[in-house]
Amino acid sequence: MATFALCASVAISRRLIVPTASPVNYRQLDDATLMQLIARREAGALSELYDRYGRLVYTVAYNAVADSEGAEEITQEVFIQAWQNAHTYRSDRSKVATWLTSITRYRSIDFLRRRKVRHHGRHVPWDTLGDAVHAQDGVGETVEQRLQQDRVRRALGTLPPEQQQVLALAYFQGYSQREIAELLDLPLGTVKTRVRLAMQKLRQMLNEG
Amino acid sequence: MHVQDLLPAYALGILDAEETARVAEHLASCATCRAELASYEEVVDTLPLAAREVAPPPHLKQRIMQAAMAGQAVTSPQQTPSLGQWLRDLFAWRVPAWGVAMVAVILLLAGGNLALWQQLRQARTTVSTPMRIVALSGTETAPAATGLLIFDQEGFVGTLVVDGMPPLDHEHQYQLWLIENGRRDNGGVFSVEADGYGWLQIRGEKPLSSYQAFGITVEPAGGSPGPTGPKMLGGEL
Repeated sequence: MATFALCASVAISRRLIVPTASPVNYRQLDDATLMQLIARREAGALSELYDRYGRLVYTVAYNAVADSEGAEEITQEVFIQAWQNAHTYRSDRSKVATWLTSITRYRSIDFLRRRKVRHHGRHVPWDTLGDAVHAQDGVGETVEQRLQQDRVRRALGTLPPEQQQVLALAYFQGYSQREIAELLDLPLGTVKTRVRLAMQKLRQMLNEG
Repeated sequence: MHVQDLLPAYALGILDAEETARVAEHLASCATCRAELASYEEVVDTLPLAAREVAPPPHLKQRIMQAAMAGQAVTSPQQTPSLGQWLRDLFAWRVPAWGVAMVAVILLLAGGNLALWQQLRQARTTVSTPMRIVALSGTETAPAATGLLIFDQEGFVGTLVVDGMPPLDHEHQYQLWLIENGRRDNGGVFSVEADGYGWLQIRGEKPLSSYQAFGITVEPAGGSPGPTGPKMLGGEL
């Protein structure tokens, strides 16, 4: 009887411990379903999430901290957070890509503040498109994402360089408008105007599609 | 400056504390500005798509997967379901009332086996060893192929996921070999989809961590007693 109980407990506990490998091709799943499977601790789903968004997350982190070691650390933190907190993701509130890039952005800014390192800030890490160019190999996974990527790159490309610069400092490094003004030795009002005009123009162009 | 003019910077999170408080207070009572803010937040959400792309190093994925699996082992005691949690899960699965009643009856009948339940919990907690991950890389025959083998440290069962493998005709399949001191045990056969993606659940005759290396070859459909075809993927523990 004791042997039976032991065998049964080992058999059942093994069934509980080993990640269930359902016959699923993760690649065919949409993002929201993938997140549900990650919440259920399916390693294959996390692997697929990385295949879809690892490049995007790393890109944002790298452009923020300008250091491959730091970017790796942040990317790892982001995916571990996704693994541990997938159950908090709400598909009705944001897309997975947005959820991940928001986490990446805040982690990157936090990283910079913790290290008390900020970059010279004159580097503008945008990839803008001219009218005749299309992104061949973007971070976007689907056709829709690629189109969106084209749109935003094209829109950014229409902004004057000084507006692109303040946006980069704000987005990637989390500088406040006041800090940007100090860094670039500009009146605060000028920075505020550049931020506002840049965002208004982008909104208008993205809405026009 | 009017609050509306501050919304773009608010969406970017770059206002100073005083301005942030002012905007937040206004937003609480102004639906128009909330809608306006949402439109700027959409812009912020798209900005990363325009970032100059940088490819992550190839080893990063394996590092992340290892960290995730190790973290899972560390937190596994929290995942151990209590009896109450187990019942809550049953409800979550929308088990009908009679089903829950049946479970209750079974539990009553099995009251004497509560000790067994505790034993199960304990067994599960103590077997919370880290997950192992072995990265498999493509040979010259299949340079684009990659694979990951994931298994519990002491487990006989694991999962293999491969990508970038050439699809085979109906007469051939891939076969996984579990290698120890030159001996190759059959790990199972599998096929890949047209896009080169495939997976296999592995059941070893002994703990998978006791093997030294893993290899995948092309074999006649159904598999061979030993490897005969070209090696496509390989990796060492």
